[in-house]
Amino acid sequence: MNYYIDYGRINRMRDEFTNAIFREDLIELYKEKDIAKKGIIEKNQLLQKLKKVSSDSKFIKEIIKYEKDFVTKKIMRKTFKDKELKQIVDDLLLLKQELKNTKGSIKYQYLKKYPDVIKQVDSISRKIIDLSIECKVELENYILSKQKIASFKYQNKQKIEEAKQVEREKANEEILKLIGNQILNFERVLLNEKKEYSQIRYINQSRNLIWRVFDCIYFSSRQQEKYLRRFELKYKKQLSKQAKKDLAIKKANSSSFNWEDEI
Amino acid sequence: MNNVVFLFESFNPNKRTTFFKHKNYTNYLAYSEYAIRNANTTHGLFGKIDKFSNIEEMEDIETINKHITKLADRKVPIYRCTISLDEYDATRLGYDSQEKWKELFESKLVSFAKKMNIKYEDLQYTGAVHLESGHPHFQCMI
Repeated sequence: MNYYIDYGRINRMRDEFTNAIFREDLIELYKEKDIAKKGIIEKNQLLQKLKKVSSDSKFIKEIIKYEKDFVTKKIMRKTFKDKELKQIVDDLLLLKQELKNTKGSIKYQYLKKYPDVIKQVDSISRKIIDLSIECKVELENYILSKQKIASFKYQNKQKIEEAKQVEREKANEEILKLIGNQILNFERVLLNEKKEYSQIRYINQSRNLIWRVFDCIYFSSRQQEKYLRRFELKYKKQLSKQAKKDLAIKKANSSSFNWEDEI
Repeated sequence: MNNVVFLFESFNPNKRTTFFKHKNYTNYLAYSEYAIRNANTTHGLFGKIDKFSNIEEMEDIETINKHITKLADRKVPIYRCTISLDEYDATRLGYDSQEKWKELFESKLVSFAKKMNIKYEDLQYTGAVHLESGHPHFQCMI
């Protein structure tokens, strides 16, 4: 009879226990992670089909309002130039040609048979991430929250650092997959139309798309702020009197930078 | 730092030394100076063994000890498991009582059996909670 139990299974057992014991502590960290992940998705809708969003009547009304105020306010910064846009469009056209030679469904997971295509998709998604600083910040938040969860499992400092590195790599892979699928969605829609697009039309379309996406980001960030405010109110209600006092003192003493970050 | 120390030891049942390792281990678990005693007995042993329906109410655990030494003699694989917490976390989360540990361990027994490739019906365990200062822990034999 085989009595031996390998380390993988023992580690899984330990994970189960840590998750059960520190359930309440971990729930908060998972919430943080989810918020960061949502942020990444919202700020990377660059190449996503916006039919769903544009069909929403509420959203269209808000966009019309925003367009009126946009000239005077200019809240969103122009983070991309025509050159950068041109580069992305060229890459997208090349990718479209390569996708014609592939078989099977156009999804990141299935296209791993074709490493060249995956490399190209990755390079495009990296360029998109580099376009906006906000997206980079959200990405870092996501990675940090994942690392926090990983550090829960170990006591040894060296092991914690190793786990953090592994989590960083995993998070990067996840994000590349996420953005890659959005790029491929965009390509799939154009491939299904079976029309030969000229580069000019491609550029115009993608420019429109990007502007609409920036609008989206603006509204999603507003929504996020609302959500945070609600969360803060709920959180404060739960606190005891002394805790509320401590929080107020902490806020009063903190620098202006940390004011909004702290919940 | 919040974390759990989890030790899982497996012994080769064919080695002669394993028998001696398991021989008096139940006595140590039950009568250790740090063990939380049961309400009606002088020992702190609890668990699930087929022959003994209610270990917590038994005053004399010599029969259990004999049963386990017999199993060790018959070369049945026996594992040891220790789950330890930081003292601060244990008091904060309520893991300074026997019931809480028991509840936690029994809730995980099904997945435990699955990972060990054992049927849940065949899995038996006894253990005790040791409230040692600095690292309160739960020790058991499976």
